[in-house]
Amino acid sequence: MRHARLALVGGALLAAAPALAAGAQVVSIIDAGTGTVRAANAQATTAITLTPSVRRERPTSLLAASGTISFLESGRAASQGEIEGSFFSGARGPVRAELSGGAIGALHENRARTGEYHGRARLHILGGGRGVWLGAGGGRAWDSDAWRTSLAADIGAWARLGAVTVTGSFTRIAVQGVGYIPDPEPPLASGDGLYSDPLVAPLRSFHDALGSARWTRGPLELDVFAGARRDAGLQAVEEWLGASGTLWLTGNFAVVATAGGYPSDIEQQLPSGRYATIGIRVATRQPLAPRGAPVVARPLASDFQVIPGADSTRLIRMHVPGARKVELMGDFTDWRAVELDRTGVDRWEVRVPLRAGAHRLNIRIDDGEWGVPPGVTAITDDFSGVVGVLIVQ
Amino acid sequence: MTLRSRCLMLAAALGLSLALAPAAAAQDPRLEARVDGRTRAQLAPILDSARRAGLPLEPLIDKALEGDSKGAPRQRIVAAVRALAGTLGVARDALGRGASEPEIVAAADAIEAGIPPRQVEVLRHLLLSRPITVPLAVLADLVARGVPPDTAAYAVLNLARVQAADAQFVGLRIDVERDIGSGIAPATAIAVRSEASVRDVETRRAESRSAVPGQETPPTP
Repeated sequence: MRHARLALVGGALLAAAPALAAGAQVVSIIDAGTGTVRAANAQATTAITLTPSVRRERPTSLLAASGTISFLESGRAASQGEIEGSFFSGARGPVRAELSGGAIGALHENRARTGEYHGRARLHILGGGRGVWLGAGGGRAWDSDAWRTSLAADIGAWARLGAVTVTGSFTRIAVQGVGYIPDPEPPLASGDGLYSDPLVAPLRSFHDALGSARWTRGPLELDVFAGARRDAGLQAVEEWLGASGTLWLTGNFAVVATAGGYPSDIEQQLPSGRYATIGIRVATRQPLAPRGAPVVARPLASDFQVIPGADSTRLIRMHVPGARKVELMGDFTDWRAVELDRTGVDRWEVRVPLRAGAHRLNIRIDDGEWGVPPGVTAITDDFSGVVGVLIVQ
Repeated sequence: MTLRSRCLMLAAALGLSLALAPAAAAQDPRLEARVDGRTRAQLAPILDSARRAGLPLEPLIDKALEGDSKGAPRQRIVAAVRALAGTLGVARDALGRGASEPEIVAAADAIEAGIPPRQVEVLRHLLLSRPITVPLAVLADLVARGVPPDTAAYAVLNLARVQAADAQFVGLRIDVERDIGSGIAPATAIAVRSEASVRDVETRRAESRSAVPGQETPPTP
């Protein structure tokens, strides 16, 4: 019943997509697949997994929610729900701030419940297809037995190198009251410096190093990742790596294959594991190939102006710091993309025929999604996207 | 040539023209150049029917081009064009036969946003002697910004009753947009700004009536 509820939540997420879409890019996806999963110290099991998700993206915010239900070989099911949101400040030179938060809840095969909520602040320095960030945050996790508090600080960098984007980060995590983690073997005892009672246990530190690369070309997306965690107290190291490939056969349908490992969850006290899956993906639209760069790195348009000319044309001008290409299309260009000219530092403009009345238009920066210029009313178009309505006197 | 063969030729010509008539409507050079044949074939009867009903075809072609440029699937493009044709029909009926294409498009936007066609009709009657494209566009814009449709219609109709100029409708929109941006609820913003806009129009009109041309107003002591 609980799993059915989670599935209903997933369905509701998809149904809510149009309502969430105003002024934003929304993508709803359902992944269905099968594969094997092997948690540490356990036998491999076959699972059929259904994962609905919805992602709402705006230039200054990101909201993502997903649910997963896995039907296991044992006849039981496990499920998980997750929601994550981020708000980004405007750009002050190359600097943007990010405030994010999220929550995860899971119901496991053995009926145990775990969950966590967390918040984080980051400062991004961006420019020229690369960026660095510095962040800190904290959260609370429930391991089906006790609540634990965690604090984290991270530093990271990303760079776009042609069709490949590489990202690396280093995170220090301090968790209060970490007790027995069923990996690595053998089971650890309190005499090894671990405490099963979170109330008396001190903060314990972990250092995570993560690296990932994403390559996209046409309908093909390939991701690889690797990570290592050092337990500062035990001097133990845990390592994991994995890869996934997505081939979009149409704009809405893809085949996805994944394989690899995942680390233990030190906050929720869940073991590490390995997996190999193959499945299909059905989406309301092919998500913008994110090229691995964080959403916050996408250039933002500002100061959108429509300046009347001597004839029936008007000059459209905007500022887009850090952009390589800015395009515009609308009913007045027969919906053909027109490139704006760079006429100054971060200033882009184009002259278009624009008679008085209401016009619909979109802009696109660096071959990203078609969006709406700042200050222009955004409405949902009929094609799962947004369109701006510009009133010209 | 016998009478029979003439009749046969006439029937063949008639059949051919009937077969080609729907296609002709979809033979816009932009559609030909950019939209695939199957989509054009499905759009043809919609465009043809719109043409016969006297509706403007440009917004329909425009919608198809928008969908094509955004990579939308055929079914979605056809559904969007069909839905727009329906709304344009309702908009044209509300505005009357003499409505211009921009007015019909703006009215369709307003109706699609949730404004009842009856309110569009009232607006048309209040501003009979001039184009109402801008007031209609402002109406749709206010709703898109979160103002409830009935409240937006009430505000715009109030401005129309005092024969506000297009710039004053646009001014109302800008003021409401600014208020919403500063955190005021859309319904509150429109209520406050609408009243102020009507007062402003009436004050300006009273001032222009009392001013005597060529004579400066004496300074107030």
